[in-house]
Amino acid sequence: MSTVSPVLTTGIPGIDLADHPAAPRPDELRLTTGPLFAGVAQAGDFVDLTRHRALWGEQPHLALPDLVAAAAHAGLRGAGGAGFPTDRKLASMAGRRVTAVVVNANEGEETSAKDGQLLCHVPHQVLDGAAAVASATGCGKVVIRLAAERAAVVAAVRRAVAERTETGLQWRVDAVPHRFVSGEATAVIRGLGGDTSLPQDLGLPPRDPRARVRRGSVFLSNVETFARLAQATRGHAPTSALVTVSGAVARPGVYEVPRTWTVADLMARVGLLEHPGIVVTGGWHGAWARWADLARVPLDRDAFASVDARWGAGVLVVLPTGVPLREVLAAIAARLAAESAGQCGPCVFGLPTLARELAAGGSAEHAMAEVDGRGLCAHPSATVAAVRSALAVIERGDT
Amino acid sequence: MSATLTIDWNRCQGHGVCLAAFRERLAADRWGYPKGIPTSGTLIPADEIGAARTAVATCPAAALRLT
Repeated sequence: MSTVSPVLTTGIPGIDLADHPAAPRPDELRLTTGPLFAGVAQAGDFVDLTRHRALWGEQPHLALPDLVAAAAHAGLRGAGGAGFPTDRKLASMAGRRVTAVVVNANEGEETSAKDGQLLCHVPHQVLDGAAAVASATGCGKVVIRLAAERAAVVAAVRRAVAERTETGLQWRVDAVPHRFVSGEATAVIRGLGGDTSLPQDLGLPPRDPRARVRRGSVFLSNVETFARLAQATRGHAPTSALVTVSGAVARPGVYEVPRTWTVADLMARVGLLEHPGIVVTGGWHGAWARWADLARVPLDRDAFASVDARWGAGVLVVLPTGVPLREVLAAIAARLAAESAGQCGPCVFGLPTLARELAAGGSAEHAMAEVDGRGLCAHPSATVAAVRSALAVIERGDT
Repeated sequence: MSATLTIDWNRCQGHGVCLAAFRERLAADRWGYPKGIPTSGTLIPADEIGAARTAVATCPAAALRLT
């Protein structure tokens, strides 16, 4: 890559926010000491269905109430970012006609690579979870929705789907051009109808009341969530954390490690390039945290929340010390602004304004107030929350 | 009787007609889109329903709903 202005780069290897190159996804499997990647001896191993069944046995059939109970017992939360309790999402399917179980593999958060790595190495962990939901809800179709650009992931999923043996269950691999918001749940659901993958408002009454009846309900969840659910149906509560680490580290990539490890324990394996100052947690939509506050925290959603960090999609981006933090923030805000679906005025105009005001050194408080809570998906409000968190950390200083 | 005013951000083009029709409640943000309607909707008291109905009826993009 050509030389870039120091003002516009984060200084993070591979993450140049100004030129917006291919996504800086730290797409490499580094270390697995947990159950999700069982059977994978080294990066690149594909656990096929025969090997998967030898390790885990057949996918047990659970009735919906039992599946709900298994998810609740394991304490499962959505692993795509929002962290919604999986048992409640499952319970909401009771008495409904479920037309599709959707594995949301868009992984729009570009600092995350865990979902792609799961699908490339252990796809049947994920597909087992989807099959469990389909059988519990009496649904005959599973759709795996993913970004067409990630050819290796698409190929792995197609290979895995071809191996499945369920009778009466249709598997569909749906590869669509990527956008950050394409992974937003309402966008995925809308895309199922053949529309473009942009968010929509599911709260308003449908314009044609028959449309909703015809479509029925869709159960959608994140890749990792389905894998965790498959484990839960076999009585295993999650013991591992799945984390994507990037930034000023020696070995960026995806790590499955015990969730009792602290951030510092993990970083000892990842290899810090220097004493860190600030870590972006959860993803670009997440929260900034000071290393001093984060280092001793276990790799756990609630523990992260207790120090105002965010688990989100299991992301840690270590900012190099000495980078101009406000400029990094402005660049991230610009990146998020560019990902607007272009549907809602306050998002279309507000996010670029917000990014510009940050770049100009302003507080951007007025712009944030004008964007917050306005729009039909979570993108603008989540962006504002992330910026507020970052500004609070910058205000306090990084040591 | 009160009602809830909601906006479909997918439709709103910032024409600004609703701002004139319903001055009691709506104001323009700096880009001309109506402020004062959160995504969850806003509760309209009985004495403002007339103005709200006018805003809904005159929106060129049919982006407003009163339920």
